[in-house]
Amino acid sequence: MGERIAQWWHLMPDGGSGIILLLVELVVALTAMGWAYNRGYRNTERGSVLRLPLLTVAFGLGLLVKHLSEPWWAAAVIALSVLVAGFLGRNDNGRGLGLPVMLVAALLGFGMLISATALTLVAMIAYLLSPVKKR
Amino acid sequence: MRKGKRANIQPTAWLFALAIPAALLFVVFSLMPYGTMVKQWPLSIGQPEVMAFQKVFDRRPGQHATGEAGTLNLTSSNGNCKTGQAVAATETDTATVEVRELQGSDEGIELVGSDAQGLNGAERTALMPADLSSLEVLYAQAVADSLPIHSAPLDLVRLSRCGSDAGPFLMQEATSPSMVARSASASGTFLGPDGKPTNTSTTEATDAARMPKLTGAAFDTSASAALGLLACIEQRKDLLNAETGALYDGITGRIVPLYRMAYGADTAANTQPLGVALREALGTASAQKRIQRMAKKIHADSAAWAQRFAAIDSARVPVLANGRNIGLVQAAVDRTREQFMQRLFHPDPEAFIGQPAQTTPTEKATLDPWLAQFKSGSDTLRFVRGKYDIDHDLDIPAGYGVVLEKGTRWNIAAGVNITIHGAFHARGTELNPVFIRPLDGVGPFGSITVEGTGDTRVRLRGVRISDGSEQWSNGLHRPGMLSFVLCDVQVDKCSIGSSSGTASISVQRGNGHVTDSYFIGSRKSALLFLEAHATVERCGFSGEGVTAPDGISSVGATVLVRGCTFNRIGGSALEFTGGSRALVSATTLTANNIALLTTEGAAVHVDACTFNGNATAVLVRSAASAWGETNLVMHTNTMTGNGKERDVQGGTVKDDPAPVDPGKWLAGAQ
Repeated sequence: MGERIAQWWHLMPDGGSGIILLLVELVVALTAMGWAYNRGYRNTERGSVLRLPLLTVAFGLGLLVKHLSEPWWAAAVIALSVLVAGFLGRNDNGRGLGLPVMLVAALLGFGMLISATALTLVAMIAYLLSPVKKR
Repeated sequence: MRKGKRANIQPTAWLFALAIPAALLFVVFSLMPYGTMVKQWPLSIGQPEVMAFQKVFDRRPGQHATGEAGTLNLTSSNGNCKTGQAVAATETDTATVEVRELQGSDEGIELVGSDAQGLNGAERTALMPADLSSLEVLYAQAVADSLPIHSAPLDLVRLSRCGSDAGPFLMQEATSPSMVARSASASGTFLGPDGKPTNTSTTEATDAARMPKLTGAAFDTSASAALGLLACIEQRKDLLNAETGALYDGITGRIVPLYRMAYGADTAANTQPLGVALREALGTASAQKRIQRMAKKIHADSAAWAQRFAAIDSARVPVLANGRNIGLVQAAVDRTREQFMQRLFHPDPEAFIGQPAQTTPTEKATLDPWLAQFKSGSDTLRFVRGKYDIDHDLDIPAGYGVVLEKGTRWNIAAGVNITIHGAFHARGTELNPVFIRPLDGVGPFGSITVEGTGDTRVRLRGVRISDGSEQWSNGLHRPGMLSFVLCDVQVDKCSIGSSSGTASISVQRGNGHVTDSYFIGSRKSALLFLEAHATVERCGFSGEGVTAPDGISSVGATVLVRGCTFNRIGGSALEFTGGSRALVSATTLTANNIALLTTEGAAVHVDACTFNGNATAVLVRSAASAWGETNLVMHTNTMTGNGKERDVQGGTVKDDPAPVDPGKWLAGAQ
């Protein structure tokens, strides 16, 4: 089995393993944050734990940051994505999932896994401890 | 049912959200053993991130390593020490420099001397920020210093930029033409990555014969293997690209690659000619075996190497640690050293450089068919009394000696060169000399060149030669009508006529002994010694009928001139440059333009000589050169009727009445 995996692994283009790792890390982070986000809602009000549109955008941002060699471009892309996420999450009293996910995706794109983990944890705790207004 | 909305996050939630991960990080980074912390982390977690968290969250008690290093102060009148003009000062030197970004590096800087003489005499100095990972660079430099490869010394300094501490930096002179000129021989020149020598004129650049032959075979095998080993140890592809340049030996055509510290990120293989040729040199099985042998030799001395690296640690780590916890530093250093030594003792050139190519055995050079008639025995070409017209280039392969018996006459066609890769003997006599002349009615022949191996015998007696020139072959200049390279030459009772080349006789490296011979009408130098050991005794030099010739020219050579006469030389009768050492003894110099010229760091003694009626008897110059100051010691000499006895600009001229014993001087000079 291990040999078979290694064979498939070698078929990946150069850097392919890094891309898959980024995707897996994002899935884990989003799932954890999504779960914590959903805790405050009733079962019927909860969205999906892993939000696919958010994952797609975050993965795109992560890839972009990973492959931008010019730091100014990376900074601009992150700033723009954070602004867009904040704008889209304004109906959620500024506490939507978009903002932290974008930041985590940017950190993962830079390869800063410990920082991304810490930020995920911060977001999870904040979501778990923030109450939901009931109707 | 309307979906509920989250309220603003409460301050208590923020407090807990920040405090819990922070507390976790404190616990993890304060309890984790340093040995684990410095290991390779999973999921591509990089050491810089781990170290950043360690710096913030590791609060365990312990000593913090600090150390002292030499300081490099950059000051600028406009307060900008990042680019532009600045004054650089170390404990030993101060220079005005231009601060630039270091090419190929994101964080490094380069100090360029404003008048090609920058800090510590270097034209360019590279500075790279240093931290604990720089230990590998220091280890690699120690290895490079022990291998047959040339590199500038590497130093660790603390950089102060306009008064603010910028931390520790690695400082090394960048490879440049002036660095090569200062540390290599007079015939060495810097070869850039494009494979062009820096001293190439426009004319030479368009002449393929004058350009170095860039092939794998031209590379010095030991230096190439050393560079290959260092590339494997440091995993640096830029070294295989020869981006550092190389030293080109203008006498042997050997290319010696240079080594320097890495400037930031590594580069991929490029197509620059020098890099392609270097990879060809390293891409053979024999080159890779040589790398393995080198590593094995170092491995056999592993205890000494461990000690050497430990010494580097104790001297450099406190500076590189930058105040970090001593336990962490120790763990990081141990791991770095262990990994480095693993790569040093067990390099894998096949994996890093590539699989060695199969080499085809070189064809053995064959003897020119015309020469077959002169074979005498298995290894000699003997020319007996008679006339021989040579109308095409002859390349006499190694393994054959050439003997010209008395009465032999070689008539050589215009521009034809004869290259001999073995011994050369001419056995003329007073009554039956050996004649070497151009074919009647045509221009000068090229050059008769003997390419030796260090002690190849050349014995010329009773030769009359004139009207030759010089030759360029595969980028190598053979400047004499008679050119001897790495030979043991004896020229006795010969008459050497004019040559339209750079010299009548040139000796490049090796030994030359010229006795009882007469040189007349040389258009440039009669005798040219390049990095050779030579004695010239009882010879006459006359410049009649020619404008501005020289008598003896010496570049980086050790020369004894004794009992000779120089008459009416239009240029310099004796010229010593390029760090030459010479004794001129019991020699008469009459009616020359310049009797003795010393410059470029030459050290010359003149004793018991007569200077009579020269326009300038002694001319001393100390032009900026790699060989330091020019020194001339005048012992007891006779000066009469010279236009100017001494024309000294720079350099040192001393008078010492004590006589010099030529035998003792020669023994001391060798």
